[in-house]
Amino acid sequence: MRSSPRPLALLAALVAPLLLGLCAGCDSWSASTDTGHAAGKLESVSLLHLMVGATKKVEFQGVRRYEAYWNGGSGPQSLVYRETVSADGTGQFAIEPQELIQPALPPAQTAQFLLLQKVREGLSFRYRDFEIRDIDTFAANYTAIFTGQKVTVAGRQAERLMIQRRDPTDRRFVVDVDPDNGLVLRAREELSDGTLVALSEFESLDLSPDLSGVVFHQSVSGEQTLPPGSALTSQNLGFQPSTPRQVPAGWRLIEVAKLVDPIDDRPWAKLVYSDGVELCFFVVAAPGQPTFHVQPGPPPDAYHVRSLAIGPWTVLQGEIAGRDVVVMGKQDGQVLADLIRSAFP
Amino acid sequence: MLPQCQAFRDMLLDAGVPQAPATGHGSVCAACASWAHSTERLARQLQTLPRAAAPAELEGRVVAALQAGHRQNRAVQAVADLGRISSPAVLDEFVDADLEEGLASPARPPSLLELQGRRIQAPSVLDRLVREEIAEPSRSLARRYLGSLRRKRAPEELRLRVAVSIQRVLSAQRALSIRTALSTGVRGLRRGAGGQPQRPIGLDAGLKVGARRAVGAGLAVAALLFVLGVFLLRPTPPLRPHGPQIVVEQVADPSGLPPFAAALLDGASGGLLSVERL
Repeated sequence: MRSSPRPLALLAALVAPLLLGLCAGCDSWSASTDTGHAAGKLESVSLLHLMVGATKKVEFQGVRRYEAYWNGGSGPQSLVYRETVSADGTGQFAIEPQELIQPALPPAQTAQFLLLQKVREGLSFRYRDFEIRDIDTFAANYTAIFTGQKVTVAGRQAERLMIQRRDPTDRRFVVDVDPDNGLVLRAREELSDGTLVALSEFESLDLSPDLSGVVFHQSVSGEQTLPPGSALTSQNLGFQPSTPRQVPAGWRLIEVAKLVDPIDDRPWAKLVYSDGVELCFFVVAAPGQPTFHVQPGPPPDAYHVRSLAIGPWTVLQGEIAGRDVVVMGKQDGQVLADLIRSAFP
Repeated sequence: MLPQCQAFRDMLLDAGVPQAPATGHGSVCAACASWAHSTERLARQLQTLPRAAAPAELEGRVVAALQAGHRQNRAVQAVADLGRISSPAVLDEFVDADLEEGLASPARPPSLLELQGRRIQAPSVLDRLVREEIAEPSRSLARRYLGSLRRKRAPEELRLRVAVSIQRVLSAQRALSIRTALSTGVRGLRRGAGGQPQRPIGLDAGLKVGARRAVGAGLAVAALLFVLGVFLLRPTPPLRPHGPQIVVEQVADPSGLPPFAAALLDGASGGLLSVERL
């Protein structure tokens, strides 16, 4: 058979621009710098790696201001407070609430709020602030633009990054990072139009602190975090938890812990999922003790769960197939409901 | 933490007033002195809080919870304690009068006593059913039991699998049609670019026809590639997971949250729940 170069060349000429166009449209992982040099890109990627878990690896002490703005049941609400945060670089930490700036509350309620903040310092330290929690899922789901801007935060020079999810979203993070150690010195979560949603900012920072007088956090809930990769078995958790079989695309399990309800001593399993930055919690209880006056019967056609919205957070809570379940995240309620549905037969 | 630190802190907590003494372990251990100071401040703040009263229904709930196991026994006892209620005397009179009247007047519907004295004819359909059952007892038995079985619903997973299979078949059909169209386009290209003409024509005319065909086929291929690109890059909706149906009810009251879940939400959100509650 005689070869015919003309049609093949024509075909190639048609296909090449099409493929080029498709590739140009692809939203691939990139850490672009102002210069665009390879060395700059390498430096940027290194900084992203340095940011992972920086608060647990760097010794520091400083005063930090936290702000949050949201629409509550009675209109726009704000929360502003100041705290001293200390970490020894080996995983020990403490947060001492200093003052509640907004809202203006009576002294007793202010004292109550600061006490509660102290009690949940462990959760605030681990989950509240911007952090790259897993570099692979971060790379898959987010773009980080190194703006080249040098800003000063708490007396330290910082690199400014713009971080945004790859899929269409109405939020972005403006993050100022200490290039020497990867600490996030200031993180603004804002809407696309620049409206501030949350801010965490160091007002002072000491990287060689005297921590001899610091009382580090001690868990009061008996929470035991399992080593990464642990199987979700009754041997590890004390019961076999129902776990989601289908999680939103791009999310993965980053933490599993066992905790005990201090009121009825019932064990719960806490599963933490992340897209690299944001978090979603799936908490499921051990099956309740059967009682003789509860008649066994077929499962109902539908289970009812309560949905509560607090700021950007949505919480779903209910009893599915005899198990108490609580799911919370910044996702849509339907996404969280699907997470629950996929956990039960 | 050193054992002497733990013992020192336990001693202070047992004493009830966590105030570091000027002598002893607290005077030599800065961490324990700081802990004592911090705990003392915590205790002072706790003392300033207003005393919260237990809700009124707590007492009832505690009693109900403690006595939950005897609930059925109490219900049975309550029913047993009920007195027997006899029918009123006027009802007996009405019944007697009705029976007597029924026997006396034949125009009224027959009473029970009358019916007992007559032969009642069974409906004809019953005769037929009995005949069929006697003739083919096994068939009748099978029909009766099959009819009484509950109709089983197909599991949700089967529906999903069928949907996925249909999607695969449709995708394969689409791919086949695209392949066919592509091969047609390439055949057109070959024919236009140098393949055997169907009828003899002049050199110039042949080149023009070939060029026209090549351009036409090229455009067709480009259009097909465009359609293929759109098809491949289209966003595919995620499959809904199978599982129980979940009905979401919006609530504004966070009081139903377990305490540790409320703490988790507060910790992750920075305290938004506490502010809303306060």
